[in-house]
Amino acid sequence: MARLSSNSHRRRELWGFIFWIAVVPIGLANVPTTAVAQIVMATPAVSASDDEEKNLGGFQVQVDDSLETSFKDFERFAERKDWEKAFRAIEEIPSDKRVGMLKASGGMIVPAHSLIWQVVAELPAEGREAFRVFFDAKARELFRQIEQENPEPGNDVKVARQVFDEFFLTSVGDDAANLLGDAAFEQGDFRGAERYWRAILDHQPNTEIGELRLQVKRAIALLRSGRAKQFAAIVNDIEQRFPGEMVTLGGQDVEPVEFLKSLQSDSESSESTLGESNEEPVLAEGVLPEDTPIAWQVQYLSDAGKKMLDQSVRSNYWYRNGVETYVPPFTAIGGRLICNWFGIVFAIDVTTGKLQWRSEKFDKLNSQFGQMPHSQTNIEQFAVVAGGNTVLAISLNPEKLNNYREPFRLIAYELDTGKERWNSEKVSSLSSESFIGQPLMVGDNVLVATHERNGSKMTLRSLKLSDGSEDWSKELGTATQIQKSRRYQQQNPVPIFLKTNDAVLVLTNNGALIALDSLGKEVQWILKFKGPPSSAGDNFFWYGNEPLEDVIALHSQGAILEEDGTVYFKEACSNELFAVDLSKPEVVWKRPVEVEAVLAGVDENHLYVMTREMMAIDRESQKLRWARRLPIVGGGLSTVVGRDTVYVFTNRGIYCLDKQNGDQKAIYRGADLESNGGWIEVVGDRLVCVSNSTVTAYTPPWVDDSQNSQSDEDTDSTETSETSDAAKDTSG
Amino acid sequence: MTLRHHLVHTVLFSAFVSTTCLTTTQAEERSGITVMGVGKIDAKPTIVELTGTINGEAELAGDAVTKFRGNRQTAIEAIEALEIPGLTIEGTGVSVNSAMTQQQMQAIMQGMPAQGDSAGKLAVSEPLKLTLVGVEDMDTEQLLETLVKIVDAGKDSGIVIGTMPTNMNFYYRSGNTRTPLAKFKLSNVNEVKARAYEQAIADARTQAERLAEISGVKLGPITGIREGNLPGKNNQQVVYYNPYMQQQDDDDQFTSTDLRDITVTISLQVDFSIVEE
Repeated sequence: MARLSSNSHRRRELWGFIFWIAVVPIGLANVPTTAVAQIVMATPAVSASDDEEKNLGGFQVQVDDSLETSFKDFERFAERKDWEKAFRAIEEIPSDKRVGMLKASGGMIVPAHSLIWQVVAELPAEGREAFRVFFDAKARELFRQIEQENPEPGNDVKVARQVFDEFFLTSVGDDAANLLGDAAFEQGDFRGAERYWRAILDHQPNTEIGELRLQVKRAIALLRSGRAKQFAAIVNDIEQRFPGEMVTLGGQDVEPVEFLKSLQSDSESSESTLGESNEEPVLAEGVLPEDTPIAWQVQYLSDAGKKMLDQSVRSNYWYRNGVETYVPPFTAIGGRLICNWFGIVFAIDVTTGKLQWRSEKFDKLNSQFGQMPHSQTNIEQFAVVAGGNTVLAISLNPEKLNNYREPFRLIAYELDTGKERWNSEKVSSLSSESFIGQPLMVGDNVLVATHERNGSKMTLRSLKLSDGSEDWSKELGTATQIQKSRRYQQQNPVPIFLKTNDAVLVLTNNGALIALDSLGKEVQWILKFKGPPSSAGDNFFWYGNEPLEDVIALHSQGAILEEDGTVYFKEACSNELFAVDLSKPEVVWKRPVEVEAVLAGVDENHLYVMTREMMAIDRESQKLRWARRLPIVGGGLSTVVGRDTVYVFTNRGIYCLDKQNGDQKAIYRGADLESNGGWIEVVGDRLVCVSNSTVTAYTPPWVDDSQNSQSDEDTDSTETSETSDAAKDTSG
Repeated sequence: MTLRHHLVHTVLFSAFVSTTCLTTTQAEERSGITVMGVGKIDAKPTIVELTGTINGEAELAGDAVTKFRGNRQTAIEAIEALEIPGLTIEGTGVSVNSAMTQQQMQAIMQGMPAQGDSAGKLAVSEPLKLTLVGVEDMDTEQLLETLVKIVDAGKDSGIVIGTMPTNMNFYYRSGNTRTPLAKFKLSNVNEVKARAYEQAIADARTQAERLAEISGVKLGPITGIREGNLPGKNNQQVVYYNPYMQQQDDDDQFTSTDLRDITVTISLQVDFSIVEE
């Protein structure tokens, strides 16, 4: 393999070492990745099969058909080992034309440049040799630009990217990948950096960079991206395969295993320090005894309102969209709990239970209850998030709650005061858009999905938190509308965002998982799977007052969780639970679960899935370990996964179940037995339960006693009076 | 006594027998007195019985079995933990079924074929019978408290107490939104019945003696006894479909869904001979 000039190489290595050791703080893990990330694609399997795409339904992504045709020419010639024709065909697709999406196998849809790169990288030995003969001179010529003494700033990465994309199998491909790995690492894209270095190990085994060196670099990147298991595996591998060998980093010889372990311990101590400063909640443990104190309770649905709602539900038994079992979404930040109850956003002090602010009086909804059971409004579309000093709510003006297909608005509030900062209805470019899916705050922007009032094209938008103006937008694809209830019109699926260390994932709840770069701007890959069934042409059957279907009564929502580099997800209206390894990416396993099931939690061993039961599914074997039927009757399916116990809030109290076998350790009845149960979460030193009528906070026993007494002192004067005041206030 | 008096007595006697006590047919001529004796004993229930259902339902058969086992174990442990004297819990047989979706059920109820995925959920279920004896020694408050404990424990542990949701449509359709959770029964039915038989025979003898006296004949020994109503009496019953009846057993005729005395009624048709004087 050709090597970089020694000066250039040494300079880069020295710089890299200094960077890792001295410059890159742990916090860099959260630094947004720039465009470098877009080059690095995970390595989906190749050989697209149209058969696999058949009958999947659901979310549709635009695929570049003309590019696909050209690419198939290459594949055809390569299969015949007609290398010259094959490479001529691929020459016609230079890197600047590899911009569309192509289908790969296993349901993957990937950027063209990634798929083409992958297919070339996996050519048989004969093809690889032919490729080198065909392209080596051109690649070396191109790469020579980097080796100049004074390269144009930023040009080396650009050139390296072109070499990597088009000529990876040539003699300079490994150097290009190494350089890109360093660049990605510098910018905090640790996962991308690891992929570049892994690409060299996987496809350029004779590289002169050295396997040990690359493995050490990979290990550091894995450690920084929080993938402890893979890090440990590499350290173990180095220990066994390279005993006693030294590696030169930054001009110093170091013993790799010792070096990596010291980095790990530094990282752990830094994390624990960060954890203290962020006041991460203490892990819940043990049962809730009968005398667990009730810290406070805020009743947002007044008794009068409840009567009106109940009456409305009885009078509209024919329709019924589950409004009676709906539990509003909430978020917690900085000691505050913020709820979005049908467009009324309110903030509560978690310690004292004081109602800090609200966007409207609670009883404003009372006049809307009469129409709500047969309203065509998608009540699952309400959402709320908070970050910095901003609260973002996907909401409707309560007066327009029952309007036909009223677009949902994105409204920004000041966290401290509840003052409305901006409203998408008043932003001209967004006034006709309906916002859908819980927004994701990324730096000074917010990523959010929209669709047109009567359309189903899903657009991803990045808006400035300061004023709601649009930074950029990108069409993700077209959703298939879902008809949950036969008595309602079809509605758009509600997507879910998940931010990982170096990517943004969008679960469409429509048969697709989309991986974007850390800014959410570039698609890295799309996993396509079975979408929701089309209800067109189905016969409708009904009888009298049949009970609500579970999927409506439980307000089943999709969910996506990440643990150890694997994402687990289950879409709403789907009966499949997936585990996807993000590093490859590929589906590790999928298994059937109930359509109404919700993925509620994950720990080191189990996934916790809820229906009217709590189920623990083994993460490795995907087997159901245990299941317990619980008196779950409404929405807000959630659980607190503690050290040894999982907690579920039901209408018969808070169940404390043994994590290992699901045994019922205790039932704490609590103060909200008149409700349907709902969300449960540890917020600071409180265990907070949000039901369909109240928000209740308990002081759990795992909170330190001194903390308890302090909190109790703070709360003592307000606990009952504020609670009752709030309740009176809420009833208008 | 004149002939006229005899004639009047005979006519009255014939009318009385033909309209009230003694119904004869042309094919069934009797030479004696046949009467219907009724014995009624009111007895306090001695048993309370609750039915519950353990269910495990899932897309995968293995999951359904795991759920069923877990739910069963939880339910039994919860009930046993109550340590209520005289309370027993008994499984009445596991069944494995293909569970239908609500949409499929609706289709079938409309006489249409069920649509959708034929490989639906699998359901493993078992009805449980919870029996509490010694009820006669409890006062109403005690009994109520005990029942509430059982129902609460059942609900806490996920047993479907009372009617299964699949049968709920009957109640919705009939406008009955309250479903019975407990059945009150007699455990000593035979003993109570024996007393009722004695009472029925005594009642029959009283009636027959009265008739004999009126008729001026002497009552002889019993020549035949038949249980039930007299032949020819209109016994037609209209039976409405009630899913709850599927759980009935032989003793359910001495069962009440309310806590009150249960009446055991025995009707005997008794034939007495007339002794020649």
